[in-house]
Amino acid sequence: MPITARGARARVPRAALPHLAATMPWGTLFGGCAIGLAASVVAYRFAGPAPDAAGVSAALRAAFVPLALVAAFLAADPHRDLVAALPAPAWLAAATHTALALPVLAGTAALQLRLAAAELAIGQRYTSVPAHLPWPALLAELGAATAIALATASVVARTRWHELGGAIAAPVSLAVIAVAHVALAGFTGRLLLAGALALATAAWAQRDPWHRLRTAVFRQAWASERMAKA
Amino acid sequence: MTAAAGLAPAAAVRAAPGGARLAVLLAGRAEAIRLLRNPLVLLGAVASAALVGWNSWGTVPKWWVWDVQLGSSLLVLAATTLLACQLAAARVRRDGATALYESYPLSATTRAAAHLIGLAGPLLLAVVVEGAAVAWLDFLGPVGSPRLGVLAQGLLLVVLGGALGTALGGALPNPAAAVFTIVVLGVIEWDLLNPFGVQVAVAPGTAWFFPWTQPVLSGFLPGPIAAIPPAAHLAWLAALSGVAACAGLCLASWRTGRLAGAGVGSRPVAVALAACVAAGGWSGWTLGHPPTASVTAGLAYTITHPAQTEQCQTQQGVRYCAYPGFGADVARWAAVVNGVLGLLPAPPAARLTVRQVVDGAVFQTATGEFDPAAQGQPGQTLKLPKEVGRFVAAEGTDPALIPGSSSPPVYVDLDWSAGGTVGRYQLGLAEQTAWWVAGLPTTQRIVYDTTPEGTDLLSSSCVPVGQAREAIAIWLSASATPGTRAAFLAGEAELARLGVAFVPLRTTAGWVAGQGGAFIAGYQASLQATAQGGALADAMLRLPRQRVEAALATDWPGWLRAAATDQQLAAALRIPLPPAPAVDKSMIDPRQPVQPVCR
Repeated sequence: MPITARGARARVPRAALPHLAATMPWGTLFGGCAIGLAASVVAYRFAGPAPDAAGVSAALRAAFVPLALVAAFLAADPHRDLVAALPAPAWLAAATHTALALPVLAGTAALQLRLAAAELAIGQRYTSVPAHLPWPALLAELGAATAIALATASVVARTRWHELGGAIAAPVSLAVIAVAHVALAGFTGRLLLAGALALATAAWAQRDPWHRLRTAVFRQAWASERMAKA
Repeated sequence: MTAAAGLAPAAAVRAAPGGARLAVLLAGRAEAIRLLRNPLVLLGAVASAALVGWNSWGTVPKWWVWDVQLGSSLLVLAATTLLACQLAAARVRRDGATALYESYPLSATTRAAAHLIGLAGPLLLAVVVEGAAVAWLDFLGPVGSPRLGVLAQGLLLVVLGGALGTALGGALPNPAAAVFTIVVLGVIEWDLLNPFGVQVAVAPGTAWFFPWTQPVLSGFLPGPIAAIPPAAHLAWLAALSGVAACAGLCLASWRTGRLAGAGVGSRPVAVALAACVAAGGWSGWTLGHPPTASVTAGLAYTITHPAQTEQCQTQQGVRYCAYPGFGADVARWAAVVNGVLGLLPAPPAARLTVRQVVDGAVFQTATGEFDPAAQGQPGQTLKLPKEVGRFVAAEGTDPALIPGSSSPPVYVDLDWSAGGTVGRYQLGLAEQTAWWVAGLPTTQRIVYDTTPEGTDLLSSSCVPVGQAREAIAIWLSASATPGTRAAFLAGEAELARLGVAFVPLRTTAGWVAGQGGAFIAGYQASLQATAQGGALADAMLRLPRQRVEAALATDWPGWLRAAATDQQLAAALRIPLPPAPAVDKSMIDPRQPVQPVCR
């Protein structure tokens, strides 16, 4: 039964929150954050004798990868078919999962940035040339990479392979992130634009609760058309 | 989904002799076909093949580099195989169908064994990719021959990825486990394979445990590094794969036992696990011990005694000396050298020797010592004697370093291109040849400049200020082949774009503008030229070649003397002498040593 009253609409997220929190991939989230943090700690602890800004940035980018890939598992909802029949909006699960994950991801990223700064400070002891990490560019890269992973997962979640959403979205996201990094490295504005486009794609993909397979739809339509002509 | 693969019912399987084995084989075949058709695995194979093509395009490959690099390229296929195998092995638990599958005749252990047999699919794909890569590299005209033991290691990497994925799928059904495993291993491999990557220092002797690395220095050496015995590393990868496979079987067996309330464990698996641990221990001990000085002594001798180890051949009066296996490069060098010598009005009085050396610019540090770790490659296990470092550092400073070489020496290193950058390699050799023709030095003297802040190394040699032979040498090198001409002009344009077309040179004749350099590849000789000589050579390049050749032929020996000036050459060519560019005073370094004018 559709809910039309505004107050009732507002109650839906509140009522759904415990269930959405229960379906949240907490293990993946904390596992990814732990791996990312461990990578930063290893880079800090076992860095070369005089780490420079380029080396520290590269290590930080590598440590950001698990965080970005966590987003590839946020859009997957094992009960999507069931939720689609409920009055709650389709995007609620992915949006809530993302909202729950963001503080954890942001906190981990903040810790990683502090470790990177400490690592660079070690290298600065051996040189008189000042070096700085490109904070805006690094944060833009992390944001764009997370958005790309989320968008890819959202698109995969609409297909018949939604069960493997993260497993498909993660390598695809990695490839897209790698291409974006090569093409847009150093262009913070363009990276932010790519992230915004990815977020828009994720939102677009979440607008429809049902699984769609365009090729199958087209194939069916084509077959129907041929039958009609015959 | 082994049950959906058309397997025989349990009764029929068990009734037949060796029925269980047949069931495993049938299920394994089904899994192999599934993995072979898996889009992830296929994409990994395509990516691996693309990596080989991308990195080898336009190069003359050396097999002792590329047999290792094929393994590095197959890491992508290994990663996707890991993910696909984890998804396959975790299929039953991920679908919540454990109870259903327990009612089938095939036990979890049998299904795990089938998943391991299914690795034949990705392995077959890896064999195809590697075979195609070997054929492609062979087509490029490589140096040396591939080591089968190293090629097999690349295939074992794919097996290891699959076995790891199967074990992981048995333990953790969440696909994120495989993704994060790949990320962790990928970051480690990125650090090991890319000298400018994460730059986490890995202790020497442990890099090969991770399980793959590629010594960046091997590309600059005249033969394979004896640091890692291929058999030991092959055993190491096999042991890791075996341990992962046994872990997968044990997990499945343990789960079966737990569900059925029976005991777990299998004697064959235990024996296999013990064998793998033993093999891993032996190979790990071998890998963990860097080669002794006696092991690398042969390689060191090869580098420091090229006259004793190289094979020489004479073509059109020029002697070419190359390391064993590099004979195919002689034709490439001869095309350039003949291009220069073919422009001369008269053959040179002395015989030219083109000698292959290990490029000192690759290794030498500030103190002239050999230090692989300083090249940004952590985990290097190659330790060559310091004599090697001193020798390669002396290549650019001692004109009589190698007996039997030309004076001044003409060197080529171990690199050459077969693609778009070939012009730069040709220009490097052509310049040295032309400098030799003109009697100009190809080496420099090192001057130590000690200040309170430390000691700097400065180079110094004579500068042919205003001498016609300098412009002639530049013209000869740029005119040797179409490639040298294109590289020369492109280099000048690039230097001008960067604003470093001219550099100040401090000579006994005062400060003069020197050429900023040249965009060359291969051996980096220490050549100096003035900007005015370069400008005159530019003007000569714009003239018809016959006109320049005719002007040079009027008094060829005279043009090669130091007394012949740019002014006289311009007059002979009937062109105005280009003005000498002004010295940029902002670039003057007062510590620069005073260099004599060439005599």
